[in-house]
Amino acid sequence: MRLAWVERLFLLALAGLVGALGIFQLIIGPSYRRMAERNRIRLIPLPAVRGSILDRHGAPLADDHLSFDVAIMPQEVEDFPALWDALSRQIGVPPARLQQTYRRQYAAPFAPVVVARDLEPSLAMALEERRIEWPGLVVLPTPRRRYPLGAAEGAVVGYLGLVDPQALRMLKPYGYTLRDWVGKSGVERLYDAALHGTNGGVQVEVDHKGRLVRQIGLKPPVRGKDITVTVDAALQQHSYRLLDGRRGAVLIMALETGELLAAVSSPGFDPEAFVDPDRDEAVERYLADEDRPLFNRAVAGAVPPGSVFKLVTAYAGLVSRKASTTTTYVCPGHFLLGGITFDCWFSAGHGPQTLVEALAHSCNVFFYQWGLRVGPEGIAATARQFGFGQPSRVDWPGEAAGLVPDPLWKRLHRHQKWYRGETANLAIGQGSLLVTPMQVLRMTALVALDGRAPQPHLLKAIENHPVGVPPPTTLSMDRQALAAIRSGMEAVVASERGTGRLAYVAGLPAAGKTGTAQAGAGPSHAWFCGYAPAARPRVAVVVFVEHGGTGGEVAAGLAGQLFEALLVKGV
Amino acid sequence: MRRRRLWQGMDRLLFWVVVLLVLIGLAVLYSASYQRALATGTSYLTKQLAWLGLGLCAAALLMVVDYHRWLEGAYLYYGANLALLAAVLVAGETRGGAQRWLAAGPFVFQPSELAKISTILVLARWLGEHRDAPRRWRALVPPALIVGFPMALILKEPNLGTALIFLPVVASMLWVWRLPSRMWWWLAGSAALAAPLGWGLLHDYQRSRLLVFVNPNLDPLGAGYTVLQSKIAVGSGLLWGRGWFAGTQNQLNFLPERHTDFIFSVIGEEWGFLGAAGVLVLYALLLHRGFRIAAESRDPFGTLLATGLTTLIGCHVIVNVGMTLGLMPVVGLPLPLISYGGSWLLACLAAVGMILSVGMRRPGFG
Repeated sequence: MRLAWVERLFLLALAGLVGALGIFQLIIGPSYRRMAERNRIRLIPLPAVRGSILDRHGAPLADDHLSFDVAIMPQEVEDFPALWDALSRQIGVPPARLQQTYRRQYAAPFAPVVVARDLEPSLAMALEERRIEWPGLVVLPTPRRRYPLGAAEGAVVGYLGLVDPQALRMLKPYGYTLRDWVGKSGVERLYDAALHGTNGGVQVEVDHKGRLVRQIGLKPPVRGKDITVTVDAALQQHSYRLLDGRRGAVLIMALETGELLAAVSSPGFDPEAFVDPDRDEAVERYLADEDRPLFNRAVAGAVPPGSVFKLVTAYAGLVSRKASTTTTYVCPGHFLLGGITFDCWFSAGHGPQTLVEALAHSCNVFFYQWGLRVGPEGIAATARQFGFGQPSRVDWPGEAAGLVPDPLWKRLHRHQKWYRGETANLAIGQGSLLVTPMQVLRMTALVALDGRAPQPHLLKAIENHPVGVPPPTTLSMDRQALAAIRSGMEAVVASERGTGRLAYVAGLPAAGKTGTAQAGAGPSHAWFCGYAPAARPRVAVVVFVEHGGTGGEVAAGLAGQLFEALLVKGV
Repeated sequence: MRRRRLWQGMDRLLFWVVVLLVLIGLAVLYSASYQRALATGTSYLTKQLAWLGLGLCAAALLMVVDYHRWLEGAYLYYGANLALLAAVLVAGETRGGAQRWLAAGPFVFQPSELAKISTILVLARWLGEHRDAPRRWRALVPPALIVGFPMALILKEPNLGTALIFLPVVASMLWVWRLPSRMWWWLAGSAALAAPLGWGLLHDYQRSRLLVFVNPNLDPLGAGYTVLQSKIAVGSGLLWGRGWFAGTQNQLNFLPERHTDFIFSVIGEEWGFLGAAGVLVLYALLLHRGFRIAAESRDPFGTLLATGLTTLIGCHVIVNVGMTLGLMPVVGLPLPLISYGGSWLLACLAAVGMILSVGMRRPGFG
């Protein structure tokens, strides 16, 4: 009888175990099944190749080329020390450094670890051929982004960076992952969605040590779309070289379409430095440089325009009917206003001047009086009509709005009364007025196209599909006034005493306006804005050199060289 | 004539249950060790088959010869086995931090497994001879010593699980020996008092196993890893299992020790609830038949012997399966007749042989 109790005890325990099995396998089972699946299945991302950025003729401004990297496949290596020695002899990197790089980068037994980058193709080939001798060694062709124009195109294409972990939450629904490169400025940033492509991945089965057993599924990556920009690579490079490292900007635009043929900010930066892991110091130099190479002076820098603004003042006077093309002021070299002497840049004086002469000679005294007659509200309203004080809406990130001051603005922001002296200053483009080179370009285009305003832009086509560009919008403007201003601008370049004489190029009659803007301490900002040919304008040009000297000597000289280049190109 | 009657008295059901369990064991072991066989070229299966041959011979011999003869020589085997256990401590092979194995040519041998059998044999003889002794504390001293010596030697290896398995075996034999209930109360009380003392004597790894048993998430990649992976394996089998050779936890190596202590996880994963519960039913039949043979034996020696051996097998099953499901702490107790391990397979077959031997000599059968 005692034995029966022992047996019952055991049978009870066994029944309990069967019950437990039932709970584990039949009730919680499905969740254990999921855990088993998670145990064995891993996802290896296959990054998409980024689309290229091409210039208007199809030449690459940014493309991914194959870089040959040496990688180690950890699960296949049999003898690490021997491998380091062999590899070191081949590529000339000390074994200790290879080992150190390997340890830092190691992630999983099946994930290749890159220990050396950008090998010579011949060396890569040699390694690949002898791979069998060194198990675990792989030559990985890795796409790396190349920017053939280097610093000359930095401002246009921008640069890439790894996805910011904080921004990832927003970007995740669009298929970005933490290891993705994403555009941080310029075209790379603005058209990132098209350039980026769709990442793929391989689903693999792994064993308990994470070693690959077999492939289960594959989603091939989709290459990003190519972006064609309006920029002409040769012109872009030429313009950048003309600035010769000086701080400034050059913009060249095809007038009828608004296509930017050259868009230069100087000094530039080499976008390749941001994607090359071995060039971190270069990036740090860019960030620390006092010339701020990462700052896009063409759209982000708002500075006083100086005399190029006289085009606005002239137009404001003509449409106000308070002055006309025959209105004459005598310039003795200076002008007295409220007990303060306002100088003309030509201290001997220009003598009697009409509007066209005053534009050609950039006579300050003429425009002081012209401006005072028009009044600050009239000048400011015209300035806004010409596009100042607001972004041009060019597809180039980081644009500044600038500032058009008037009495109301001063009362609201400075809580002060507007002085007549400020009107005089505003009339010659000084004082609180701030503009960007892009806005000056827009103004130039408006004058050249006789009141039609093209939309400046950089995007020409996405993956060979041209982007529709709206025709220039026609503003209701006074044609006669614009014609008078254009004759003034033609005289700037063409007449004997024109301030933009240096922009004269035989064979390409051009028109323009120089500007020399005083800005704090140091030399003035040098400006030139113009268009060519004078009779049937097709391109507009803006040259801006920060603290570069006088517009007539520096900027107009550069503009002349640009016109020459345009002539050679047959624009 | 007599011989034929002897064979007719054999418990057929028990016999076939054992044959079935051994065959299931081989099939599961084939799957559980397949990846290793691919990788190393040596298979656990062939070794297990060699031990199986040896075990079947031993079982046949034990059945044919009257178990009284074995009881006569019990002290001799017991003494020899103690010597082997001592030899393990002196000259044994160390694996995984424990010194448990003796090497003899190609065979590696674990004396502690056989010590379970020889101790039960001696205990059955002593308790049988003293069945009429007054039940006083003094009377418990010899059985305590009989169990104490091998337990101490095995603890020293260290092998906590094997050492502790002696306790339920002795308890069930003393119960059948009719130890009065007041003495049981005293024993239970002193065991409870001794438990904290025992904690102090444990090795660190043994303590961590016990702590992880209480909370498996304590160390999911260390001590808790095995249990967690085992639970995942068993649970993912669902009703029908993932199929022979199709268990991912098994084939992809996530399950450690899956050919020995955790072979039941492989059964659960690949054969599902039906397979795993079926195996437990087979064990239930085995135990049922074992205890019936013990009850029907014509003398106390047979009863005690069959009780001790059946209890040993039953305890192994319950602790091993419980451990697989995370219901028992991880102590290295293999599954009878199925787990890989030559000494243990030999011991199990010897135990079954002896139970059958007792059964063949029941009144009305022999």
